[in-house]
Amino acid sequence: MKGSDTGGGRDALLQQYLDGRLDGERRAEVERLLAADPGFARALADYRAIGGLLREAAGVEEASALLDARLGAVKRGAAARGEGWRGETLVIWLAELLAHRKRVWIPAAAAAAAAVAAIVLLAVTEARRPPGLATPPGTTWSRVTALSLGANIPMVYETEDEAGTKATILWIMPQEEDTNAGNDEGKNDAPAPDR
Amino acid sequence: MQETTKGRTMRQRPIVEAWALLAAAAALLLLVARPQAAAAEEKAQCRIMTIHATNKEGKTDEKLKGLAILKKAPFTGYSTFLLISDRTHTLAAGAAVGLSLPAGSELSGKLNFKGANAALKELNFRLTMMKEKAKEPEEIDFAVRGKAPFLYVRPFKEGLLLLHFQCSALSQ
Repeated sequence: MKGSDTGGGRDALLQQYLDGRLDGERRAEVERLLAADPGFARALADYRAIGGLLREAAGVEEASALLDARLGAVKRGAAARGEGWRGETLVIWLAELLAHRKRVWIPAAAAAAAAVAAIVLLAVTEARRPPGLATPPGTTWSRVTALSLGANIPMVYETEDEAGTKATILWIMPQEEDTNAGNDEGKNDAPAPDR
Repeated sequence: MQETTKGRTMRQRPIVEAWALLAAAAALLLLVARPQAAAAEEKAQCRIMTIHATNKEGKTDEKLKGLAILKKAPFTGYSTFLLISDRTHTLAAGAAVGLSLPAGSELSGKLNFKGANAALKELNFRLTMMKEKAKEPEEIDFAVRGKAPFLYVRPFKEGLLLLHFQCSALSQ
């Protein structure tokens, strides 16, 4: 190596160094130059940065190709399914719509804010919801709360089943003048409660 | 999708945003749906069976064989239970439904759902029965907690006319 100031030779050497293609002696020489010549070291740093960008660009291209393949498959699948399935098609449509907008963070932020607001409101309304009407077993019943029967006479029975459900039976005993319907309505033959 | 120099950001960000928009829309739909679910408790579902209990020869309706309440007092003196009507109604608070009553009973009736008492966990009803020649109707207010039945009974054709109400909050 004749010197580090010959641009073409230095660049080629640095490329070989970065690619790991130098033998031990030449590699040691490059490292001596890097330690002694700040310009040489800067050039190496620039090459490393460029290499990183190139690798990233290659990765982006690969990711883009994968994304295109994925979107194409989804579109083909949606088309094959016809009208029956629209979820992912809708997402693609929205994505393509948003892809043409430069300030894409605005709708994203709005959507995120709306989602957070909805979740908070859900939590608040859930906390404020009145207690439900569900009752545990054994605490169910029916009961008479008011009666207006004229002259008719009521008898109220309460029964309870094995589950503890209490049912109410209201037995109406019509007065004598209210005996026209049926053959023997009005006999007032309600049995005594058997409890 | 458009190719750009910012490949990754311009390609992947819209997908994320689209999902975010859908998620937000779903959350808002949930928010709208919740009050409707809460309001559903203001509805009652009532199964109303009209039954004729008698000692005449006949066969008790299959649907009534499972009703334990008919096997105990004060119904032990009757051997046959005939199902005249079996209907289920959904009632909003303040709504009423007419009752199916047998011909010859000279009765008409309706059941009104007055509303739910959330504190007592009760549903409140008013049963109104009117005899053809009667001056005033019978009015019976009753409350139901859970699915407990309520029975209205009066003499009818050598037996009994039974109205079996089984009501519960619609959301239960």
